[in-house]
Amino acid sequence: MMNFLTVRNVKKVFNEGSENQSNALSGIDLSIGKEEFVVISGPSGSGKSTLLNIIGGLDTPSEGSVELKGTVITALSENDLALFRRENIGFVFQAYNLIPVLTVKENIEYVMRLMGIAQSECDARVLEVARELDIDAYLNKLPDHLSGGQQQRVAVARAVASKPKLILADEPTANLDTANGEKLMELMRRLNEEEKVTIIFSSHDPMVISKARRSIVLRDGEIIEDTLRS
Amino acid sequence: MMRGVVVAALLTLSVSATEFETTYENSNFTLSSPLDGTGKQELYNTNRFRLTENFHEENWFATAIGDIKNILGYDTINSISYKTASAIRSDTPFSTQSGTYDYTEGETFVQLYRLYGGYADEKQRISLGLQKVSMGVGRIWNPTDLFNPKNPLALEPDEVYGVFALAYSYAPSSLSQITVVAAQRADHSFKYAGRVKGYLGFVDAALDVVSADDVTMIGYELEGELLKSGIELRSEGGWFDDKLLHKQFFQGLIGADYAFENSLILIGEWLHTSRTFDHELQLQIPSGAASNLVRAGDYIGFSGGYQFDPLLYGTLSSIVSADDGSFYAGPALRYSLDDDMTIGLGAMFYGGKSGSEFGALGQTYYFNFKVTF
Repeated sequence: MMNFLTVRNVKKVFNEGSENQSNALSGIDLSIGKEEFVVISGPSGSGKSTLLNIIGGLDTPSEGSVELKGTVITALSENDLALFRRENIGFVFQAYNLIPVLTVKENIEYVMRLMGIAQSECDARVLEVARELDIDAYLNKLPDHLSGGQQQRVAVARAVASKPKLILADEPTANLDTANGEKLMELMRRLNEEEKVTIIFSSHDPMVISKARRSIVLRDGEIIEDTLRS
Repeated sequence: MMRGVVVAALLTLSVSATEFETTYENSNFTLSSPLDGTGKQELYNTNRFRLTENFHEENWFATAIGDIKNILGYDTINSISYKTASAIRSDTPFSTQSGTYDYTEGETFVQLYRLYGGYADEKQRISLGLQKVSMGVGRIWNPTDLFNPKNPLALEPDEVYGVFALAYSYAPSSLSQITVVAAQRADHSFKYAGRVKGYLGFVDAALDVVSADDVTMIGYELEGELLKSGIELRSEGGWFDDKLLHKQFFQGLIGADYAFENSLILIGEWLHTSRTFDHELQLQIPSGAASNLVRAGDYIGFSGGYQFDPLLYGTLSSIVSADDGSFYAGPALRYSLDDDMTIGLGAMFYGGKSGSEFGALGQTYYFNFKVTF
């Protein structure tokens, strides 16, 4: 499988030189292929979120590089990186981050609108992803009227709507109960297969980890295990 | 409880010999503006009727300002950009805006803009209530202003939402001042600020500190005249610790302005930020310094005003993103029909390549009629 994402010797040091210096990542080497469905797991403080943020260009490594789709994103200017991120990466957060005054439909299409995509195209795409994620019945509702599981599905829909090549999800089920967490993971797995999008998510939940086809375990900023499941 | 104290103070003072000044103002804008992503121009109208009540009694003062706002334009009030912009409100422990009355083609609501009172003499000033807390020296930007959120829907300059605060200033001398502010927020937490300002021989300088649960800032202000040339130089900036975003950054400006004898006024500023927040803005990630989040590391701002004759005044303001070259330009003309009535014409032009900060925004044109009585 061709390398879609390559992480080379990425290190991250916080508060370098000070008393509370911490080595969040200690030299990560990682290759992820196109359309993989990967979980990065490990205990709190193992560096999961830091690694996801660096892969997504939201943080810069102290050393090393990240190459995505043939582009070394760690060498891009802030402007080029912002554009690259908009066009290629979707994000799902633990805390949904939906805009409360906008309907579900408007929340999903918000990023596409920012990218200048025409209304008719936005409408069609919103309906398409909403049906895939089983939230088409709620398109005119406000987020506050939805359950946590439904809100997280809206957040996933928003991340997927602009057809990114890569979805990064940081603890996407952390605020959901077990049943909704399982549903969300099944949906993401189906998205991975049907939308052909590479998905990398972080979690410390064994149920969530079991859904991934590939599991990368971090401890103290290092990869201690990298397992491909059949 | 604090709101009750303010109301009680106003009522108590009203029974004594007082000086009230009542002003009514109606400002109406008709705009042609592009609608989100549709490529078409939408015509809509906004009307603001403002009642201002000022009170003075020796060293005591109070101000109350209330607005009735009407927005007429179905597509506009249902657009994403209007909804997100209109959701920005004062961060106060009580609501300052009534619910909207929707009548299909538009909506109407009532807003409390200011309600505060206090005491002022030569040495000190204390005020309590919904007020604007003055921060910074910039003309186009105010990076150290962490209190007063700008109203993104406002079409008139200086329209900022107030905060519910207790503000105290003491002037040890005519050239120095100490200010402390405590503002209560919607979640009932407090945001605190302190400023020490003094004259250093050739420049007015201030050190600012702001502290709240979600943000900390250490800032500075500098203001002075360049070698008695009449050119006013200013600089303002702060080091921010955004505790919600877990990011630290610097944002500051350098600016200059000059007033020519022929009434032409020119203002220029350069705003620099040590990091950009495209991702956070795109996904509306909660921030302790939301008004400071920017897409570009550097912006150049320009503003000019000229009195063509006693009745006609023109302005031009512009902002350019140094990162992607996109720009905003806003020319405007204002004509005085008499002392209390003005009409205005203006535009907001945006330009830049596709994907740039201002490039995707369309052009807006407006007509304004304002009357004060």
